[in-house]
Amino acid sequence: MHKVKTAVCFVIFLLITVGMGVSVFFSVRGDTEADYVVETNAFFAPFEFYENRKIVGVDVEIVNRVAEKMNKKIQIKNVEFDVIIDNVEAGRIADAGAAGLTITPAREEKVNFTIPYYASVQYVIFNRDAPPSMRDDHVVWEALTGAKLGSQIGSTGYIFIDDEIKNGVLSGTGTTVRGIDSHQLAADAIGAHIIDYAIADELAAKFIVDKNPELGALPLYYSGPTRAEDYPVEESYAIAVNKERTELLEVFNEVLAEMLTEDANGKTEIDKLVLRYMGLTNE
Amino acid sequence: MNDFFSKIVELFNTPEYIDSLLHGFWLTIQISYFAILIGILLGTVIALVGAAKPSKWLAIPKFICRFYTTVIRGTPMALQLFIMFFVIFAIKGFPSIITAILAFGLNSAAYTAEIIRGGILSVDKGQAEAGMALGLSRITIFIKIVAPQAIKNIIPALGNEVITVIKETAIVGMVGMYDLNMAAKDIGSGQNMASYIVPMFVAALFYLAIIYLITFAVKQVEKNLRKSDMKAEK
Repeated sequence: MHKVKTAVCFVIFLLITVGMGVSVFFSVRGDTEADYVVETNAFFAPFEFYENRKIVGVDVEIVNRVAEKMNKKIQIKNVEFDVIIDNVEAGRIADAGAAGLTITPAREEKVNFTIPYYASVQYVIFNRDAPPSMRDDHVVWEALTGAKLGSQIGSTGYIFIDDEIKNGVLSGTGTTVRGIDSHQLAADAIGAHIIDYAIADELAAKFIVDKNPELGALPLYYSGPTRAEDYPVEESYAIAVNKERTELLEVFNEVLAEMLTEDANGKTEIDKLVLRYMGLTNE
Repeated sequence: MNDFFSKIVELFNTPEYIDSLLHGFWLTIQISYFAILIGILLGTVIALVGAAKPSKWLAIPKFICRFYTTVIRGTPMALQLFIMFFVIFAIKGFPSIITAILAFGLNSAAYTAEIIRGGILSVDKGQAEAGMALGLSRITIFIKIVAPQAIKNIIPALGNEVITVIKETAIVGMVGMYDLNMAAKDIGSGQNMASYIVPMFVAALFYLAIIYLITFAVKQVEKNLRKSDMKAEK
């Protein structure tokens, strides 16, 4: 009797193991056939985000267009934002990075950038009960003096804050910055009183504020000599390509040039895609 | 607080969210299952080598096993996962689920080895000596006398290790894998619910459910083992 019981247990265990093995095998099959790998961080709507567990968005459309043009298979992989540049530089597991990456001099030393395809502005996210002092419709860096700031680690928001604290308008003011996993978590950190304000890219900030009525967001400006001369903290997105994959860079540039051509109404394909993935139009 | 509950209701009423959570949950189960399997198999080998009688043939394997457990137990899992993904298996197109299984399996093996070694050592030396006095071979002594008693001490700690592995897999989101924790992040991100708090709570419930189930199963196994104990004493 005891032997039978042991045998039954063993057979059940074997069946489960084989079943699980088959399921892993099927989930693995698609992974191995790509010619190129493009890395992204899928928490940056409308440029890349999960929709029913598939990564979609404007950057994905660009990559698909490139794959079509080269007649190659390109796999899009989700990774943490702050490792993308290093992985693309090394070129061993990734050939390119499409993640709303801003062109910065430090990054340009490591990778080649395509032509910029989108201009964005940095936004300050704050609790409506405790907003920073505003200048008309924007916030200037000086208004953040002494505050606890947060931003997605490795993002341009974080780089900008870090720069200002180290050798900019916020240096020596006791302002601190905290690198947080994602824009979303930075926004949640305001609610939890971990930080006072979060800094994020325009579209990401707008998505967050839209769904959280207690939060507000305003563009971040450098202060000029007069109020009218304040200018926004701007940046432009481009796709990072490994320095040895020049053929890939060329096709990316061709595709982007096509997609940035204005139609009769003065709208580019990229603009339309942004609107579509923000759920604002059905085009 | 009212908002919190209405958001929980919203989450459970949105089929896509539940679907995402279940898919993430399935990946968590897949990784944990094979990691635990590797952990137990490799851990047993390491433990046996470690507990074997010292001899000149075993000097080098013994050293390797000791070195292995020291390094694995002495470094954070998050770093081991990072090294597996970005150094050792930094091969284009290598399936990430396999890398993850290996990373957690190799980690678990070191802990399992210590658990099993502890279990073997917990059996009184006199038992083996008695067996030897009866003229039994070392293998027979181990299989018939030491192992059955050791298992009773191993099972509770092993159950603990299984639970630890399941919860530890939550860090695979770090390399972009869509596990239960990642599903919660996805549901909490800007274009969905735009707040991590509620999805994280629900994901925690999923972890709690599976771990409660495992605790229950381990308790049953323990009870069974103790039952045979009682009979023997009578």
